[in-house]
Amino acid sequence: MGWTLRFASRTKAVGNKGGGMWLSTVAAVAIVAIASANPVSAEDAKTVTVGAILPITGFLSTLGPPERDAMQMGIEEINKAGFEVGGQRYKLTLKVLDDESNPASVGVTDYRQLVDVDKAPVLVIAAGTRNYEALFRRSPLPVLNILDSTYPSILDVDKHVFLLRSDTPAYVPGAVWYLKNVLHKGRIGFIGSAADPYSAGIETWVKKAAEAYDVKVVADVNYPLGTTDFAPFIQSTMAEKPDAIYLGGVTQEVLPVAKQLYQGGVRDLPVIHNSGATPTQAKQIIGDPLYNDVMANNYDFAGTLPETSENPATKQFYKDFLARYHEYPDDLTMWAYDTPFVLVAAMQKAGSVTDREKIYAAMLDMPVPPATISGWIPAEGGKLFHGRDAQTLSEGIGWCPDKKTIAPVFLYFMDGLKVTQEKIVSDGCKDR
Amino acid sequence: MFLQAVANGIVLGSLFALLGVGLTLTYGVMEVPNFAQAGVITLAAYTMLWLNQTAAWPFGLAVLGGLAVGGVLSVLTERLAYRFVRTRPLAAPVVALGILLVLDNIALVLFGGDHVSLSPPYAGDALHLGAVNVPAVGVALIATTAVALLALYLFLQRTRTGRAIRAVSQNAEAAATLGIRLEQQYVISFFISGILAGLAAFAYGPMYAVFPYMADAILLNAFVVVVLGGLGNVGGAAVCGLFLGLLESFGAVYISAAYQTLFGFAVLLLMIVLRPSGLFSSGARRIA
Repeated sequence: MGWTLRFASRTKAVGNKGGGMWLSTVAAVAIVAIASANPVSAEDAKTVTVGAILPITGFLSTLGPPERDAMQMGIEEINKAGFEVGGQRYKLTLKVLDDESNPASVGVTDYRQLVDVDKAPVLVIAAGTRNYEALFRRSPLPVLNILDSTYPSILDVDKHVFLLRSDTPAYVPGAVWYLKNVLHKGRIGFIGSAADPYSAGIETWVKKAAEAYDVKVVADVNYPLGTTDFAPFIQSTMAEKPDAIYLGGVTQEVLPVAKQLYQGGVRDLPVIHNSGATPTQAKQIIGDPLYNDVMANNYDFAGTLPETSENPATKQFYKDFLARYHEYPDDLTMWAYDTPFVLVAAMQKAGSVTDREKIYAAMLDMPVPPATISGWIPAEGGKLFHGRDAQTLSEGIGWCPDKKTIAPVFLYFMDGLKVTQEKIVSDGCKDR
Repeated sequence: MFLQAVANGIVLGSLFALLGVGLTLTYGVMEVPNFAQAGVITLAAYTMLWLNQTAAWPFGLAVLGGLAVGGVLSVLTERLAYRFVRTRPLAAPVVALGILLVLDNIALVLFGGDHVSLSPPYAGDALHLGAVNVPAVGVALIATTAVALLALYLFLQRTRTGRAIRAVSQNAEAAATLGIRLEQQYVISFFISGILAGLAAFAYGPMYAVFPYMADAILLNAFVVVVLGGLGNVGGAAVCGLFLGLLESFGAVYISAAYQTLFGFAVLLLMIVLRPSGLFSSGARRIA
């Protein structure tokens, strides 16, 4: 492409001088140069388009753009050498459509475009999986979800759906366990979003875990869609005298509530959530003079962060992503980076880049792709998916006020409601 | 608990009053349901944010810049769109929604879809009165609304221009025969409405966040206020704004917070059935 552009530009400049002979000569040289500069294998590589529906705008817009960027980084890494399926070399391209955080209408239109018009062999989606249920039945294809951790699980929606992250029960109970056993709190005030299934799933598992660990949920309120003044909900919650606040929802729901809790005088209680908020997002959403104080008592429990991984490849991804996008990559970003590697491995195992059913069958049975960085915990037989759910360790992170950033406080894995592989980190801020 | 609910209700009611007065002012003179007011609030908030955080203006100056942009934008909506549907009231709501979409999407294109914070220097402060906590941003909202409504009242009652606006609101044709320039009153009314939108952006932005659709939902509550107060009735909108804020606050605390927004619309339905002209309507349109 670079050669072609330069050639076109030079042609125009020469042409302006009126040199027809020059034009022919430059054109001939450029054509020869293009032909000789490209190795045969790369020139012969065909392109497979990966379709993705992501929330680039709307209330989930903290999630979509970094996922898109990380997938693009993964694709660029793959395309350095390309990949081979059935003796043919391929490259990947990414086509992202924005569902505007509105899968019910915009996302469904995006789905038809990518699946029925563009004939994508596989699809990557993020939020609102249940909105696509009828479309899954009409135009089935393997669908890899990199966000939608709700309860009941989206894996129930259709057999073609895979979840490239741990589901809600894998990390929410660990937060309640930490609250009880490390922070020594026993009275949770839950504030969630009534319109958000992610929040509803968290609420369910907070209650289950609280019962299992002998913790009381003394207040449980859910604000309606579009709420911007949380004062009545905070008041109702505080009236029950909780010693910890648990917030349900995604980053753009959780951080404004955390901000109003602080502004309303609730400053000494630990605030727990599962938002995956990065320091950059906290600064942006809460505001610069305030975010460090608001976040000081916050604990966030979700997947492991690339920043705190001990895997050199994962650490390198963290550095590369931060340098390129000036944004801290979170667990979702790391899983998104791995997504194209999973798709390529599935196509190679299937021996096809177009046969949706063969790729689907390959995904069910595929091992953990070696180039991935998320630290997948293999299922029986070394398979990537436990059924159709890929799992990693979970991690709790706290806030380092001195350095205005996050640090690990707890690494764990859940076996039902039993916490296994727990590692409590008491000095995580030291190395920030 | 009771006093805290009162405090929360006054904060919320002040916001509703500020929004409702801006809407009812333009409805009074032109009978336009100005949904585009939400877009003006959004772009005024983004202007304040940009001036403060990117151009590094002091917060106070940035607010003044945002108010100016709000006023000018509001006038532009009148000059470029509403004046063409002045005699076609059925078309006005559609045009208003169209302008709202345009303004929201201008914000989306210029500033992106992320939630960002408009942070005044006092964002982390709070006023403690016994067991009652009022965030400083809430105190600023109450003070802003009080000053704005008082200034508007004095302007409409005591100045020649204010009286002219009231005359146009009561009977535009009669006002024109008395030599009042209608076009000028329309422009002034929309400018004032834009300034009120800017004040709403200044007061509301720090409470939640700035994003392209930040005022769309809250504006529905403002329309409840406008209808309850009597269409075009500035005083009625101010009183009903406070009433609605208190109603939602008490309803949330003593019935269920989950139905907070329902209470206002339930009262609206009752009002439409029992007194369609609004609580404070005297049967004729009026301003102040």
